[in-house]
Amino acid sequence: MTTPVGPQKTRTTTYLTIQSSDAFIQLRRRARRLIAALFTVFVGWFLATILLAGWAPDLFALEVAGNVNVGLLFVVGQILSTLLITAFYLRYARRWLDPLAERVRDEFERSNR
Amino acid sequence: MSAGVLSMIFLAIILVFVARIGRGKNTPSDYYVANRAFTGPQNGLALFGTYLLMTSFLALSGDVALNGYDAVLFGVSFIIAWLVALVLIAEPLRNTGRFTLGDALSIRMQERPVRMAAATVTLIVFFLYMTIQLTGAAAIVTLLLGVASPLAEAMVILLIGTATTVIVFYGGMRGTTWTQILKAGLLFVGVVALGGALLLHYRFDISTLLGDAASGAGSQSAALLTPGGKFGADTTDKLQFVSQMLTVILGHAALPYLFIRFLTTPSARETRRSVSWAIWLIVPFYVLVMLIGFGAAALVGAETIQSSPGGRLSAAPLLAEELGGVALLAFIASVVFITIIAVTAGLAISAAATFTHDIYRNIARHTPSEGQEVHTARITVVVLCVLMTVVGLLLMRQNLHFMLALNVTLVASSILPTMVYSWFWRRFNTSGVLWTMYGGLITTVVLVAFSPAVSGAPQSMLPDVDFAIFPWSYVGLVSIPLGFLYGWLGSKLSRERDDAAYAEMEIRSLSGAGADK
Repeated sequence: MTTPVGPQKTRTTTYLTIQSSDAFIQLRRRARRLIAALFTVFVGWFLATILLAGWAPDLFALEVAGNVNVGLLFVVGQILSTLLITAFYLRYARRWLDPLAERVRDEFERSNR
Repeated sequence: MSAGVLSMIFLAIILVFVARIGRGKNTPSDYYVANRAFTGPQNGLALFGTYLLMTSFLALSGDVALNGYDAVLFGVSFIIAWLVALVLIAEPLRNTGRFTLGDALSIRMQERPVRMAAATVTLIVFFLYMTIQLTGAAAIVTLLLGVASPLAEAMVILLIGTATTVIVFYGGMRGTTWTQILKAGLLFVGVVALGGALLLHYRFDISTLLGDAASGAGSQSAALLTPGGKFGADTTDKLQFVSQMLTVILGHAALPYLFIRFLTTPSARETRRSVSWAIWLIVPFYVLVMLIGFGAAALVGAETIQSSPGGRLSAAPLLAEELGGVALLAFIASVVFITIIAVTAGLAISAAATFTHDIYRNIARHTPSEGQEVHTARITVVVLCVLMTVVGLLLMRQNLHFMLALNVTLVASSILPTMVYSWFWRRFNTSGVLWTMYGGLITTVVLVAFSPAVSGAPQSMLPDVDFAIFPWSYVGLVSIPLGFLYGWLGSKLSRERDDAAYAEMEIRSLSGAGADK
């Protein structure tokens, strides 16, 4: 259950070596881009919705079909986008991040053996 | 009384379950995180069970019935909060944390002070949440008996306190998790039954349901389907509501009793899977709760809800009685009872982990053996639960509603910035952690103390005095940016910088190399 293998010094050297490896640099770039992009999209989209609800209530009150109005359609949009973002994140992480993370982990295990 | 009997049956099932799972091994990994053996779907259900407080179901549906559209928007923010957990927090935390937040932080900081800071915030969150959960038992009693009775309330608080102690003392994280999974199943079934009955009643014609809801709302009929119920009229009120929703989104994923669950799976990939499972459950759950709120406005009516003993909390139970008779009402009420126990158990295990692992083991001078650590954690559970039961009994008739918002705001202003900086900012250091943790904590508490949540308004804790200088009860829009600012400032004010430790943090958080298995 404790992970450190070998003395702390080799471990630190291993981490510093991995930090400049191609696999890790690529993993970090992709992960950071993904996090920043998705975070901006869903927070921005939700903020846009609540700002419109607060400051343009008349727009949200417009009826579209029966008693369903623009505001309720925005809510439906939020819910669908949450499901879509989740599905996208799972796919992206599996295809583009997991293989790189695995390479980094292998490298780490090899150098620490 | 059938709800009371049903509650006891559910509780007995949980206790038998916990007894059959057994005590497990006497190791910290087994006690705190169940040896990280839960699969994605299991942990996803448990996450769902941990996340949904009694208030997420009863208060939200009542809020929708009375405030309409804005309450729906508020409910959506509880869904979006899970995207923050999925994208930003779950995997890095699984990769860098062992049992507590203190573990993750001490990878690259001075161990003692950061553990103390993390433990302080975690324990404050525990005390506040536990108090809310226990005093919230009053609502259950009102639902079960239809009247407010102090004696019955006190007995329910004692029962919840005792059940929590037994489950967590004996079963640790394993017992807690299975309690949360059972609760998740019951709550989901309850909401599907109630929502399904409602949709069948309307033959899936949502437009008619919404129309009836609008006319059932009485005086505010035109407003129920349009914004305005919670936004208020002037800019101050509107910004306060925006502040409240942003805090919900940012704060929940960083709640200690919730994120300890991210540590109970074998890998970051499995943690990711469990969060996605939680999302697949939480989205339909909230949609149904919103529909139930509109259904209560339509079929029960706003005036009946407001004049009933439980107030807005009675919206869903009254609808259950309307659609499914006493049987459905009894089922819903007993599920709410189990809901509280699942949450208090989660709170108790995370508090015991942080007290024993961050304070006792790492700050006390001697290093205990694994068996001693688990023994201490078990004693901590008993002490904390007894203490909180007493606090719950003392405060049971107080208006403590503000604590719920205070808690999430506090976490969003201290723990969240600390997590983000420690994974993603090279220059972050011990001083930065302490500034963020204590600065965010103090700022939030001071702002809330001088807000309408505490004084100066009819629904304040102290309605008869007025020292509310700050205009909003929900202070996140100010305190969260300040939390980030403190972290930046505190780091810049200290020369400490350890690039090698940051290399470890960065690689571990993103790839899991060197993470605990």
